[in-house]
Amino acid sequence: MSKYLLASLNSFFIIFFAYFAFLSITSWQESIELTGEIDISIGSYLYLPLGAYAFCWVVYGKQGFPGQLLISILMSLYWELDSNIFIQFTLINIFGPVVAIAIFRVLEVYKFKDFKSETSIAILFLCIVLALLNTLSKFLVYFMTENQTTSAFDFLATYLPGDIIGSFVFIIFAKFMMKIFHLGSQ
Amino acid sequence: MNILKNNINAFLLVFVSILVSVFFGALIENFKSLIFLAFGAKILALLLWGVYVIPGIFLAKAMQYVFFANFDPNVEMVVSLAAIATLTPVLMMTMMKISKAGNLFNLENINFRHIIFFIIITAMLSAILKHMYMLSDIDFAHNAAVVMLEALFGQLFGGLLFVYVASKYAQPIHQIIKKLKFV
Repeated sequence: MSKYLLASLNSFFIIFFAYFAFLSITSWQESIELTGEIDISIGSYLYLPLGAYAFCWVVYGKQGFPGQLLISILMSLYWELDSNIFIQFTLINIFGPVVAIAIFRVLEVYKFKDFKSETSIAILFLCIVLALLNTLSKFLVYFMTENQTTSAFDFLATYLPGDIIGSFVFIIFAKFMMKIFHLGSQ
Repeated sequence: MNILKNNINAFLLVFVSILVSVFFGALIENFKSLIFLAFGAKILALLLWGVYVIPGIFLAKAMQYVFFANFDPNVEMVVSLAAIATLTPVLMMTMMKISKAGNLFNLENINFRHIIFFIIITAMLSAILKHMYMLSDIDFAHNAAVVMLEALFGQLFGGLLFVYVASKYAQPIHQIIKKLKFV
């Protein structure tokens, strides 16, 4: 029980940190307020939380799942997402990385037991697949609803590079921190 | 000479599968490209004959956009879409080789699961890149999500089906044809 609690708490705070860093950078770049409703029709070029979800899933597995679910729901509430995409976006945030990593593991491409033993190019490859899955599923959900305010091109052209760069930056940063502080070594 | 022969083979393989897809698409309306076999043919041609058959595949894809597209094509559009369709698998093959995820340039000792992985990621990337180009210029009758969904699943199912069937039955069929002395 305590194992689950600890992993969930760790996952929660790691993803919270990623969201905070992402929001701070975005608000600093675009000179906007940090709080309030966000325009999800245009993606950010540095979407760090995607990497955080993948990182937590690889490091903590299903033990960190409740923490991931909680932070995802809280962030969807904080961003005041419409009720017709609220649940879908929350689920995509959590299960997108799970599916991407499962594809790698099931098809025997990489094991991804931890990030310390993986090369940077393998992590980049994971980030590309993560970004493809995340962008495609969010695109499908967003454009299935009626009231779109942006073109499909703008949506894809901002989400895809933002997801790749953001997730890669976060995972490399986390790997670097693990190396410095000797974390994750038994 | 061998490269030319392989290019002709690749062109025929891809173009015939395009014709089959179009034929079945015309039979079953609303499910036009839910099994798009040409995607699998393109992958198989690249796996069998290597990257030297890019011109053959490019030509077949260009002909597809000229003759069977449901929009008014111009030269720039045809060349761009055919280039995206041809070069995306090559890009992913190279990416897989660089990241040591599997060497698809050499089919000896290849893990079939790596080919499935290759088809999945290529289908996703190809669908996104093509639609980033197409959805900015062309007005479709359907919603953007429906267009994307159809392209994605068409390529995914078509690719997996074609490569699976080819890997399972190509060798026996070739042996039967050989016995009949057609080749």
